Amino acid sequence: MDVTRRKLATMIAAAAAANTAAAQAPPAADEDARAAHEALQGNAQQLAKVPLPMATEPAFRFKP
Amino acid sequence: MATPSSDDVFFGSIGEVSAKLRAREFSAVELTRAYCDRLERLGPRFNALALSLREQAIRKARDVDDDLKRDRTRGPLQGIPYGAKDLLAVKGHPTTWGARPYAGQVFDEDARVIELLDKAGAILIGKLAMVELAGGGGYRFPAASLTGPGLNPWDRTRWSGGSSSGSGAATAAGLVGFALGSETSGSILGPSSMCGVTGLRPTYGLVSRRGAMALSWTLDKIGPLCRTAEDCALVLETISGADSQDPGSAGRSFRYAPQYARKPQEVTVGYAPVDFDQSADPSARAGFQAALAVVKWMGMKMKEVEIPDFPYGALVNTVINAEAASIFEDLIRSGRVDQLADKRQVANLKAAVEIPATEYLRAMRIRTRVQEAFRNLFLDVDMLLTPTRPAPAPKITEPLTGVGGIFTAPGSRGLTGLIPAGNLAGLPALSLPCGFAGGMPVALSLVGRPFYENQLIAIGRTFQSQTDWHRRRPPVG
Repeated sequence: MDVTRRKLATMIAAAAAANTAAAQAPPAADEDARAAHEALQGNAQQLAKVPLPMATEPAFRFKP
Repeated sequence: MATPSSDDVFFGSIGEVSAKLRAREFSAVELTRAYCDRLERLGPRFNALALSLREQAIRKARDVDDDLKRDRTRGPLQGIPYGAKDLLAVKGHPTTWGARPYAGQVFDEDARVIELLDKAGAILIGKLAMVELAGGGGYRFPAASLTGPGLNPWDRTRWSGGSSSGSGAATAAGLVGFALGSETSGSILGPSSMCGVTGLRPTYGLVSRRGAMALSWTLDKIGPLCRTAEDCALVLETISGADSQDPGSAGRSFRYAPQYARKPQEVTVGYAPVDFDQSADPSARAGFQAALAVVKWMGMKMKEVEIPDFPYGALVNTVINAEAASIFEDLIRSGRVDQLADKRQVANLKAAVEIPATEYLRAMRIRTRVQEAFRNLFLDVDMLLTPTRPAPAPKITEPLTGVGGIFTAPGSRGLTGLIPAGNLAGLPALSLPCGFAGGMPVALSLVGRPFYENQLIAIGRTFQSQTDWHRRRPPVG
């Protein structure tokens, strides 16, 4: 197979770009971890909006 | 003596099957064998069976037959085969909690509810499949289970619900006379609705959780999935009661006394018309509205209400996540949590370890306000009525849009969010099949103040005397 310098340069550049993209793409586990933390943050933000008098105690000894 | 092979037996109510046993139409051993055959043959088809307990069930059935011959009666559950969610300990047998890290776990004591049913003569024939760790942390796909996705007897491409997947499917398919499930937030009501069975979530503390997997100490409840509201009453009567070894025990028991319940005409029901219309899946609206018409025809006083305004999803998730992270801290920190099937659930549990104490406490303080708000709501109405879920069961391949069976609320409030709200407030709920949408069951829920089960069941029984949705049978062969 004849490979010109230009073709070789293109192939090397393409391979390098693919490697960079693979390195930048988050693994599935990272994606799940990010989603999990975002969900927790979302919960915290929603709870922070609820007005809460200082005298309100937690439902520790929970009895309906 | 006839062999109990007809569907009329497998789909009969507890009262009907009990009457046949007492009339000696078949023995408890024959009934148990027939049910075991059916559970072992069809259970795997729905990924509903965790473990068959045939041998011990047949031994127990022999004891029941001896008792019946001697007229030693122990109540309507005597000789009735049932299944238990695999988070309930059964002495000497694997109790997997639906999760690979616990696949070899064996306890040396029965759960309290298993003991109580045994005393009443009920016959445990199998452990039923469930979502791993009852969905603790929140799962993304129905396949989050040691036994695979729970498949719905009405359509095996659809989910049977979670986390009591096997309890819903096995009851719907006539593989057990009734089943025990558990609910932290939706795990009895969801599968009951999706599978077309009648499910009861008891008041928090009414049923002992000793010997059950803990997911959230302040939310966990055990309850029955049955064919009828009255069956739920019979099971609840047996499994309720004080237990000094369950710190959450309310120290109360339940007695089924429909004669002391108020008549429908004397009951005020709170509801939101939007729940039966815009908030419901279009395919389910006609069914919900027809069911609402039956409720109105029963003569109950109807009053429009709206659910108190709180972020119920965020609240219940914070409480469950924080408590579950503490309960399963060893599993999470050891890395064995990675063995769970659902990778989002793994990530959620790992992240939950980092929830600050202040956030958990904030959720629990808001929960106090939720309880107050519901106490006030029940000054105006006796019970609440709403579709159990706004839509029929999803496809098993679809990702769940919420956590642990909690689905994204539509824009208009109505009574949307009543499942997490009712759990946060510790309220009892009864789910009643009320129609079909695209061939799949849908259901209504009645929700009452704490310890109001007798009234909910009485109204449920009247509703079921006017409808036959609870009698419909899926095409399981």
